[in-house]
Amino acid sequence: MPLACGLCDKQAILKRPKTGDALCKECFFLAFEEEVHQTITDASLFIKGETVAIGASGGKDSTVLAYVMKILNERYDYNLNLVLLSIDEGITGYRDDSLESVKRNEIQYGLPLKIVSYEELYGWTMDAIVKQIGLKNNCTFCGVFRRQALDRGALMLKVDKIVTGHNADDVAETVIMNVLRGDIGRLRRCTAITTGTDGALPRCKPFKYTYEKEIVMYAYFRKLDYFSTECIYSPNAYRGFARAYIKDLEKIRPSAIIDIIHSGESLSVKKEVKMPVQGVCVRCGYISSNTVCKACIMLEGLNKGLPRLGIGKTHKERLKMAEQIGEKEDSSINSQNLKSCVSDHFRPKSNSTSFEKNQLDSFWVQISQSGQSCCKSNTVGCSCQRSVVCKDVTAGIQSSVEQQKINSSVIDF
Amino acid sequence: MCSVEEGDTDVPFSKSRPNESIGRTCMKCQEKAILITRVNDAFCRSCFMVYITHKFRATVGKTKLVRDGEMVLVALSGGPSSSALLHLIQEGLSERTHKKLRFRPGLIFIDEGAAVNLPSSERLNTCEKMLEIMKSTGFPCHIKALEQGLDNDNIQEFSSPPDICCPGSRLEKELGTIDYDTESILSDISTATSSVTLDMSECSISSSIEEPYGNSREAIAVSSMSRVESSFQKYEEAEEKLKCLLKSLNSVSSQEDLIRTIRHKILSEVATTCGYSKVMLGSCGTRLAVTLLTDMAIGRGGQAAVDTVFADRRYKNVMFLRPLREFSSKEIGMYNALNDVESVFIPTLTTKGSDGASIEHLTEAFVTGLQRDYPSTVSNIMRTGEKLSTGAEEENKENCAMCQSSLDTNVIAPSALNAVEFSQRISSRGDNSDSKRDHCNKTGECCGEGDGSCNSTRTRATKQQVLASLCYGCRLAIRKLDDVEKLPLYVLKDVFWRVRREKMKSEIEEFLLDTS
Amino acid sequence: MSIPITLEFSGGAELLFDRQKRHDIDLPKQENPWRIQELLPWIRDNILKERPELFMQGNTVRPGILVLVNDTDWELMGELEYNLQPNDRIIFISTLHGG
Repeated sequence: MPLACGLCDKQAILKRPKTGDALCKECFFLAFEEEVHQTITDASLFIKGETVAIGASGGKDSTVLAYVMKILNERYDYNLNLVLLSIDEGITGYRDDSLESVKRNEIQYGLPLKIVSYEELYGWTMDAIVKQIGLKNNCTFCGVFRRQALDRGALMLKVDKIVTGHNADDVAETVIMNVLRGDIGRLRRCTAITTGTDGALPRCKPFKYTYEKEIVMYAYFRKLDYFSTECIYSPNAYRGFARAYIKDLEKIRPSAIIDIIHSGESLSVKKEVKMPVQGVCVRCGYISSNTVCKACIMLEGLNKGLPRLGIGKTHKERLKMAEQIGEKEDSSINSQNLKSCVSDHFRPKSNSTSFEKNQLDSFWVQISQSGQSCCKSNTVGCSCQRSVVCKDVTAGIQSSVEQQKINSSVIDF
Repeated sequence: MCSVEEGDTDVPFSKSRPNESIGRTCMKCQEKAILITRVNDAFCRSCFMVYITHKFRATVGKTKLVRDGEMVLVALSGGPSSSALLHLIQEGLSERTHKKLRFRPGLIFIDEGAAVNLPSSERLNTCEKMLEIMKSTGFPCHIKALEQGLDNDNIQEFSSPPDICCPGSRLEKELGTIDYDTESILSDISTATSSVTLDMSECSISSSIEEPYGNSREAIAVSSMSRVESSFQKYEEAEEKLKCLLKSLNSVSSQEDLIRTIRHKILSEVATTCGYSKVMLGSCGTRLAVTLLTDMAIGRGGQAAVDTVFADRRYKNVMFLRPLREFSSKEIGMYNALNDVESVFIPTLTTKGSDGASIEHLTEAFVTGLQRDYPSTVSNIMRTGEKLSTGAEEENKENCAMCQSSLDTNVIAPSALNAVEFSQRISSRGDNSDSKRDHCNKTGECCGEGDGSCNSTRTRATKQQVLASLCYGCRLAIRKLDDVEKLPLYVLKDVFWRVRREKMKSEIEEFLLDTS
Repeated sequence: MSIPITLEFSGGAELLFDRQKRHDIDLPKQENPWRIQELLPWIRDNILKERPELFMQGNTVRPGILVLVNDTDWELMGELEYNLQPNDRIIFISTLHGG
């Protein structure tokens, strides 16, 4: 027996997973879009005239996000300048297809697209990383690198904010994960709709209260094209437990997902609990709770052939390493707190260049073993065989990243 | 897109292969080990016993919350954890122990058979068994039924003194005369077929302080029988009311949630009226970890901390303690097996249910499954709970009318609560039966409902008013409830009180200075 | 020769065995030695009365069921690999809430 739509009188063609109401197609689209709009306005996510980068992976979340952002931008005069930002991890096969999808989005939605790759940012593709360290901890690298890649790409595009397609299921899953791991710092932050306001580019999740199933439904009925595959390097199994739990909960009580988010929002941390202080990495200036950020430590490890550097919980060795790296920094820093770069082959060109938070250029040059300064070219043909240039990142406001090409013969095992 | 994020891959320690542990010796005394507990520590029998008793005494002692001679109500469910708690308390109080505990326990057992639809013969059976166990300790005991929590207008029920206290008990010898009434009455909780009394004739009476009822105390048999019969009628009604309420909630998860709330309410009421300043619960660490995750899943994140912390100060006059919170269910099981501790198995709503029977059941399966492969799961979860604030520091927060935890519904957008309400608003036109009921409240006119209750002079609470005074979790639990009159009386009274206060406030609003 | 074993179930696990807490059984003679790994399916096929999934999960016991071999944690005896001896006492305690 055909059900009538709850809002208009047409025939209902679907049941909303979120509320259980029967709706027809147009009413569903409207409801879906209105809810996202409500989330955006309630949280005052955007300011008129801002440039906003949409983290586009080619998957359903980002495709639908781009589509809806465009619609709402026009319908409600957000006056935003939207761009698509995509990350190429350098995983053959997997990436190519999703990148194709993003390129299609660029054309379909008429939004400019920028692709940033691990290769250009760090000098390593995921394929190369996996070849070096195997399959055990590659996800750690990818996670850390991706986060920074998104920020650095956005800075290159000079955007004011990043939006990602994290949906309600993702947020709920993260809450449960953090409870299971006892990670109180992340637990407190993960339900915030905007993260990273202090220092790094703010990131928002307009889909925070949107169910994954509804996103799929929306894409299906709007006939949006997306590509969704599993990463060929098997993903973290532990998160899979939380995911399975959430899915089972949803079967028992569909509102459980939002309930978990509410629980996460209602939590407060005891005042006495020591929260990790967010400082700045001494190497690259990226936000970090440690002296040296994880990406820098990992890169150091990769470059030196120490694959486990930076993996796993902080334990004495890693701390020692970090301290050593930090110390090496100190020894090459003069009293004005200048830094040297990852490979230890660099020092500031001019001793009088002091590091101030707002200064954008510090000059780095490469010194060969003999102590002579080298050209600052970024080409591989340089006689010192390393052209690593690292730039200072100020307190997160702007950064520019240069390339690091490692000659494999330099890596010692 | 792969959803791995930074920091995702910090995975907890995973269990070693089984064969590595064969024939391990105790980590303390190098004798043959009988148990592996904590993350990977082996203990022999005697060291294990020492470990357990020491941990118990330390948990109770280090917080210095339980004073000498303080009256503490110990809640027994019949299950292994509370039975272990009882055993530990007995050991701790006995004279031979080195540093003995010094509080005065009373025992209480709440019969929840009505909620599970147990036949009355089985309920009686269970009560008898529990009574046996409780009597053998010599401590004063109470037995209550869950349905008594619905209607605590009836002071009689809650101010009953301990139902039994055995004469010449150890406790009497140690503490001198027991200065509370020891009239031996067992409240009857069976259904229509027969009223049953247990044979209590061996218990004696000693001098007492005020007796709330005014029943004569001379003829025990007579008074207990008459009391039993008079309360029989009330119990039947209450039981029906409870069953009706639970049935209209429509989901097992909601039912379990409500049962838990009522149970706590009964415990706090008995404690308050009988002079106990503390209540000890027998929940073990594993169970509390499940409770924490379940609370997260049902929208009770704000209470998750207070539900799992050692000292729960939600109810103003009574403090709930959880001395077994550091113990895993495995340690409890082993302790009971080694000491032949008797426990009574009582089925619950999800006994023999599939994993998806209720949220709590699913969560339990999830946590125990994960714990098997990652032995630090439970301790991680508990550690998270310890770092959360219980909200006890904030004085001015209002409490939920049902579960007494802080109201977490006063949130500014954007929030999950607002998002949900918005979704509901835009997904359907107008709301359904609630508006009809609202009209009932306004005048005395018949609304045509035909159920006969509209003609009462007492104003009915509207669902809207009730929801406004409940926390998110309680709102969720009663979402499918059709008639708010079915709720326990104490909830409705609280709601009315708030409504009256709101009315008062709105009358004087213009004269109130803004103190914010 | 057959191996006499005593099995005990408690904590609610006995509900699956017709509420009988103690079972004295004789395991029939067989070629391979009896390990717990073989005992479990035997229990499931011979004395378990209902709901095998509440007792076993895969080839081991369901999480939440504590197994004691002669009053010792089975993890210290090799878990499934333990070879049963005559007159062993194996206890299965369900630590789950409500059995």
